[in-house]
Amino acid sequence: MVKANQQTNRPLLETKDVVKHYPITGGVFLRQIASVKAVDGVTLNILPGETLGLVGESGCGKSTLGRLILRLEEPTSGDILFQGESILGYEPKQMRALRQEMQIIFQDPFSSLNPRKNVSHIVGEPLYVHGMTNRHERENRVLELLEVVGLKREHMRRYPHQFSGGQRQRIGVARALALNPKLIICDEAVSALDVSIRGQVINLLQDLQEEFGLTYLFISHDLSVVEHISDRVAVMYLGKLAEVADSETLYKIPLHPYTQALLAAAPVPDPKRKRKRIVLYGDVPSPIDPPPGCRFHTRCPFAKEFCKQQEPPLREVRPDHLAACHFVDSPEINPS
Amino acid sequence: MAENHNQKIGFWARVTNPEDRHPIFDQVEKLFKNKTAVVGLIIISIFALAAILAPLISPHNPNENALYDQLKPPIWDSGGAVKNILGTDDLGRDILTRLIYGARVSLTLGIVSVGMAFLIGSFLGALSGYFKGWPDNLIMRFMDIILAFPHILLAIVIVAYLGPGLRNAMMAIGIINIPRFARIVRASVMEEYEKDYVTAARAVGASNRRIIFNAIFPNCLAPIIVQASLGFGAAILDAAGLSFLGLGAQPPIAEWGAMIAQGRAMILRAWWVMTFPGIVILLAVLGFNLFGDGLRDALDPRLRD
Amino acid sequence: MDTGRLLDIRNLKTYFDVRGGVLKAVDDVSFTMEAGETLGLVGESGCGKSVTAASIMRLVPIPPGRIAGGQIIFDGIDILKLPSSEMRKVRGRMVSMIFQEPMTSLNPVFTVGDQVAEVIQLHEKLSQREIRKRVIEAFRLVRIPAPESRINEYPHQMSGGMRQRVMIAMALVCHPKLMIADEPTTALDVTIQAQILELMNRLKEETGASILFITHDLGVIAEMAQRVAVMYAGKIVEAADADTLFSDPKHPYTNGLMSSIPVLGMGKKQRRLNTIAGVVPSLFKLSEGCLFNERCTVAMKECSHVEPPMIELGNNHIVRCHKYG
Repeated sequence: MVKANQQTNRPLLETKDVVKHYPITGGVFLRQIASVKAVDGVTLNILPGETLGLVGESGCGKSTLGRLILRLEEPTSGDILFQGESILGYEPKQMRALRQEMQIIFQDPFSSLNPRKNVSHIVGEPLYVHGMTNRHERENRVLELLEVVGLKREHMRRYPHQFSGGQRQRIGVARALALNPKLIICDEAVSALDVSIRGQVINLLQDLQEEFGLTYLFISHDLSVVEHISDRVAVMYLGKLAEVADSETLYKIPLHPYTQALLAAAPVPDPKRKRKRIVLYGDVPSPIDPPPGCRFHTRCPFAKEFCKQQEPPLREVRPDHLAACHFVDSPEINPS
Repeated sequence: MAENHNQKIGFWARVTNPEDRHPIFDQVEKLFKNKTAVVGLIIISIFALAAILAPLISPHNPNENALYDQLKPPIWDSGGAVKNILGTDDLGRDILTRLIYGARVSLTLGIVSVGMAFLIGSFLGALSGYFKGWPDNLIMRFMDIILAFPHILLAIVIVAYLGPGLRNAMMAIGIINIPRFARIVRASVMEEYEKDYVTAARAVGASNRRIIFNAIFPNCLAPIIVQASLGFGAAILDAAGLSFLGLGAQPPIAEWGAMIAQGRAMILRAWWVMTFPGIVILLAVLGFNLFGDGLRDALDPRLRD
Repeated sequence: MDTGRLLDIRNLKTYFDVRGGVLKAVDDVSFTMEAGETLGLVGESGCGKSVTAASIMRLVPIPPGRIAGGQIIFDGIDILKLPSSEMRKVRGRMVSMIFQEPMTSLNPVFTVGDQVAEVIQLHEKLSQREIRKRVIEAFRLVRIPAPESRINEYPHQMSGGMRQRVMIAMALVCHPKLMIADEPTTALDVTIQAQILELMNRLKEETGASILFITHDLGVIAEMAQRVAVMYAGKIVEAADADTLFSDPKHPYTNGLMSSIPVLGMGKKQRRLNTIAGVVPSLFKLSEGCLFNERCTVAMKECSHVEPPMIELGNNHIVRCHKYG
């Protein structure tokens, strides 16, 4: 269910067939001999005020997609639009202004903060870069932000190594909020935290979303966290989208065999709940050389000959529910 | 303090008492616990004090010729006197005084040449490591050219071109040390670049200049400081070598290498003219090397080769 | 001393002497294990579960660590009293360990086959040919396809899941009675994790080995363990059969833990996650009472100055809390 507080139906952010290939050079003359197809044609939109969850396993390209959206990397092809306008053509000056609208929270609470700077500097950096050169003004704003994330004035003069992982993440959140962005990309923002701390940060993120009308792209490999926090969820596999649906539907009626396998593989803290275990065999293929046709066919328990030949398009199989599978309607995959 | 599950880094070292201060203080504290570093620091301090207080503590004037006191042996030898504790050279100048004043020359030289190499090398290395691509290639190939020359030979060539003299010697030694710093900084910058705090700075829209010098650079200082200390010792040696060849400090400047050169002809008659400067060079370089090694151990055991 | 059990840990204390004082990483931990069972050791970082495992293997660096007390009786012998030469015979052969990061636990400059072979060479006198056969057999056991060719590969040529299988092969190749698995699947993708967990369960049945499974992931514990012990700040705060622990947790920490994680399939019904306020206390043990006191929602007066004893609730369920005293 999409949040009721969205003002308009126009997406805040759209990606249109975004592709990112990393070249691999080799040979004596260092020519390009292959490429890592990290993101291979992703079309996605994020509606204002919603939390879009992006799940997938390592190598699926979800983190890369996050970075492409922020233009921390340049896409090989495709387009990215913010509030309807393509941002790929932006000049440095426009880009700088855009950066105020989109920010990111990182996974690693240890390396995401500069160990040689104190909290005041770290959280104040975005403000300084965007013109708030008056130190007093900056420090007031930093204090405001720290209080919003649950930290205190005395923390301002301290250095990252003096804080716990959870507190460091809060500092990261404060930094991300500094410029009042519209979109925040949470790149595995709670994955590195202790279980009991995770809840605190998740609650914080939700509270902030309500208070400031934020939009989140929540990237994670942890299915239960994504289910809890997201309105809609997109599943990625080897650089492409496998399924997109709203959170409740995806977890109740996953259509794509990969999503089904993911959900079946996720361990549940209840010894009595023995769910049907579709244990996927084999390793994830390399993104340098993805399988032809449907990328998932090498591990799919339902793969047919046709799957090896043709790549399935991502299409709307049910209302508001997209999946990329040729046989998504066949009874063995989705009996209903 | 709650920690990160997914890293087993520092598994046994997860025990610190938070103290409200910049990380540098912890490192300084660690440094003073390291015996090697402390010994090195003491030696360096002695030389530094000697250099600063030279006019006050020297028994004589370094350039004062005393033709009646030529080639006097050190005090413990027959013929020696309290007047010249370490003896005199062939112009009657007091060796001890000249050694003390020589400290001035050597330390100044070290500071200038290493300082120059540090600044220029770090700058180039930072640009190289941050921008990669063709700037990296260009700068590093340039560094390779400098490194391709045998160390002292290049210094000789530069000084020969510019003309002998202490100032040119300093520049030459500075130049040959640039690649060392450039490489270290480049590697450090490349490593830090991958860390999230740098990505955060980019995501915020900070200028490249700000990111390199304000955010990344302070995190690269550890290996450079070690290199600076070790380089200091090497610079003194190089300078002595150049002066020995007549290309560095020109007479009558009291410089240890030049003193050795002068003493060469007299080694059988007056061994002290050459020996004492040699010992002093050894001690000075030892001091800097010990300090540098101690620094390296204190700041980052990973840097040990 | 012969208790008939596979592993009997009594009042284990592992302390570290560091700059700030004495760090009591494992502070009076006791538990037992039978043959052929999986005991789950659950807790967050800093609770002492990994140090417990290292203590059993006697891999704790001494100094700054030291075993300050207790006994570890494995198969009737107190292994803490063994001389190091004897302990080396125990490691790898009677008790083996699987680590979290297969990339750093495997030596990058040796082939995986060589590394597994090394374990055999250390414990048994066999010819090269026989060793090779055993290694291939071990690879087959852990379901690595085409083992004859894969034994010549280097760790970096294999995927994370494969490397973990190699680690398991190394752990099993000398038929140990106990395998200690320290977060073996935390670094793996969910679908690979499922494969490895299934493998471990099957191997347990086939070889009869026991597994001490250490993790912070409650879901994984629910799948793997028959009995579970929960650790907090160096002590065991609750232990029970897995079914009992999950359906009826008694200790406030266990309760807090269970209710603070989003559960798959619950949807967004739980609007806010219940959290445990505060942070893990300093392991320098500055307080005298229950270490969970400050974060406990049902703390009583005595909790702040009297350490709670371990209370038996019957049905194999024990809990360290004043509430049940």
